[in-house]
Amino acid sequence: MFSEKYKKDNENIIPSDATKRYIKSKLLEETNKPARRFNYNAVIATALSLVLALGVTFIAKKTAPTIQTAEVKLNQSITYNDVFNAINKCMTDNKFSYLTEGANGTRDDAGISIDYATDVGETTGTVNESGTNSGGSSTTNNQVVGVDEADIVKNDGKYIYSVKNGQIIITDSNNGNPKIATKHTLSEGENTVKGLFVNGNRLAVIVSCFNVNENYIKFIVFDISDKQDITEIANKKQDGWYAGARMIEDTVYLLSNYGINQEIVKTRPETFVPTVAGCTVACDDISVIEGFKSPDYLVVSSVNINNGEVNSSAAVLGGAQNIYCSQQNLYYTFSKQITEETDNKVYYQTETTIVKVKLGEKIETVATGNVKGFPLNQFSMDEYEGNLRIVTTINLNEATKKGDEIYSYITDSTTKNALYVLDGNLAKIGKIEDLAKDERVYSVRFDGAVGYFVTFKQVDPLFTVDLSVPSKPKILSELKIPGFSEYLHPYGEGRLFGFGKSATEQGIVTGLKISMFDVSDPSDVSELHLSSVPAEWSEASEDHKAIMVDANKNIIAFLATDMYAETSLFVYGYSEGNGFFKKAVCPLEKDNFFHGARFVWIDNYFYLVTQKGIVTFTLDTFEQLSHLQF
Amino acid sequence: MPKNFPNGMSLEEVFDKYCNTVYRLAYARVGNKYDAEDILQTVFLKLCKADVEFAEEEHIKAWLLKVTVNSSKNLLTSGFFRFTEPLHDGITAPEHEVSEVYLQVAKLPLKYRTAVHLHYYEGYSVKEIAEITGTNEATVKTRLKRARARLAEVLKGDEIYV
Repeated sequence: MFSEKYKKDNENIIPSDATKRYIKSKLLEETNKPARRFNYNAVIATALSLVLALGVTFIAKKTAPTIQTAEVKLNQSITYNDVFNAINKCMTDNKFSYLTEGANGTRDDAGISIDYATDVGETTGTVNESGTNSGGSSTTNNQVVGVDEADIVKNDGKYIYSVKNGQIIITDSNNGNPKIATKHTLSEGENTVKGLFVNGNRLAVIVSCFNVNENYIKFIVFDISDKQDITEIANKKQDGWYAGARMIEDTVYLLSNYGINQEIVKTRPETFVPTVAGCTVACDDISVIEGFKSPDYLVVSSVNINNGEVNSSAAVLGGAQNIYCSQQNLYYTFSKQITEETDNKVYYQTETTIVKVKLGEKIETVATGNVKGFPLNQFSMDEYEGNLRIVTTINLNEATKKGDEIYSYITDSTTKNALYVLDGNLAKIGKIEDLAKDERVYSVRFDGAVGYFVTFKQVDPLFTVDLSVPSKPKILSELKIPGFSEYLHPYGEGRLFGFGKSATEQGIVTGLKISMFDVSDPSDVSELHLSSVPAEWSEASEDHKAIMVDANKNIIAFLATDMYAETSLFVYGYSEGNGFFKKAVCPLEKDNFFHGARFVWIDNYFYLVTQKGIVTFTLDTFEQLSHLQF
Repeated sequence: MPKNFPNGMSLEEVFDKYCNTVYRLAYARVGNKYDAEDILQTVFLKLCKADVEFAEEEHIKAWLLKVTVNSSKNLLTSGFFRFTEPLHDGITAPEHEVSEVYLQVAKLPLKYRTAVHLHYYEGYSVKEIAEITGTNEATVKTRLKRARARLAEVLKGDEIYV
């Protein structure tokens, strides 16, 4: 019988256990995202970008109104009472009534026991100019020169510092014959290492901790003068989920998202104000963004890496999603949905608030501003000559109301992209709106007075923008090619490297590709060479720290996985005449745990560092020398 | 995320209970496990982010199936779909153990096999299928009728019942 047979066949059609586990972990991650937890606004924006990633064709809606972004005000010089009142109002307005019924433990992220530095709330982006330091070794793929980003693998030109499930491993690179110098096991509950910093004789470890009632990060400093025997010299706590960390010279800036999840009591500031190193943040250091939608703070502290002492701390009520840090200022954004209702329609649009924090001995929240749309990641922002440039994707969704029912589907949607230039006070001084209709931003890179960004629906326009006159940004060129780049990195004089996906003219994604663009004449950008990578997926598409792009050494290295789930190390070089050439394609053994793999070169050797061990290659010929197991 | 699921279910329990349901419909529509898995993830992430409340458990299932249809529609009609119209030639390399019956259903046009799946596997009525797929009852009836005729032709000997 047909229906019996069809039912029986369906019983065999089930997702694999691995898939189910993976999706469950994603769901857990999603529900634990503090900044988004109460914030449908941001959430709908994310959902929409997801829909867009699937390539829906939206039809432009002529009748849709333009929703104007509101002015945003920052309230400072306030008392704890003011803070309490603001939180209380927010909770009442936004129906967080359960927070007045006592603490809950839903933020407990038990189940994700190992977390390898996927920055919560911090989307990852790009790389520094060369990816190298002046000595003979590589650095983390930082966005801004001079601003080190925390990562799970660091090196100091001789030793490689990495993380394995609650252990800090220091390996002597030993000229291509690496030897473990020490394995330091962190205390119980400190096994989720989010990132490391190395500075002279100091190693800083940032750990994310949680228990039923609280989430906090720990900042642990080790004296590493003796690599065989490292000693802990400081261990500080900061409330909230890890949101990112940067190091400028000797100062580490620690960022966390702190959401209030307990009953708030007016007379006890510790119930509604985050603590840093045992002290509640002083009310002078708290800023409140007027009209914030969920009771979340972004907490920033500046810590001296030499002794672990906290110089200063600040908190802003509003939470953070994307963090960009220049040498002088920290900018972070949070997005919310604004709505406009008519009799039978609801229009939604995302707007993003940007908060500017001045860095230094004393951290100060100095300005806020609003723009339409939402940024893709940290690379969507860039500070240049005191101005901030930001690229956003704007979507205008339309839903049909059925009486007073909330249950409404998005019936129409339009997407546009925009670029804004904001001055030191985050006031808009220049803009280009209505770019690339029905597409969304896939990658952004600023290079001084020029900005590049890629949008995609079917073909990949690489836009080049002249920002030399901040008030008059100008599109210089628009190059349309199939596929899209998810990561852009300047590659020597007049060249821009792109890592992304290839696609047919119809927009069908076919695999990974690498491209080299000629940007020497910004008004006439062309794709000089491209090469398809025989693989389907790479972590580098999502995390800029998982790719090494080094123009000086002529190395482009990343791991990629093919359709048979085999992961290989790909190393490419580039020559003007012949384009990309393979330096190495090295299949890696199965069952290894490659998530969070990093690349390091020191002197004449190249090291692939994973949580399982280090594979060593010669830097010139990429001959595999050794495989050290942790 | 919906603040409360019916019967005190947690998101994880909802996932455990309905992941096969979503996956099966997605697979029936896209015919390969990679895209079906993508859709499975998309659908539950959407649930995570949805501003919607469910009065009864049955509503969750209907919502999930509706979103599955829409998510796979987006995928199938977009350029992102990995293979051009893979199912017109049926499933070339079965990733799950299925009989000739399933393979013949897979050869039906998308709208027909969706209706067949919802009717013969999920047991939904014509009216409910119309609701889930966003079309009207007459259309669903026609699709089921034509699908049955086609299947009767290719599956000689296998009786097809309404």
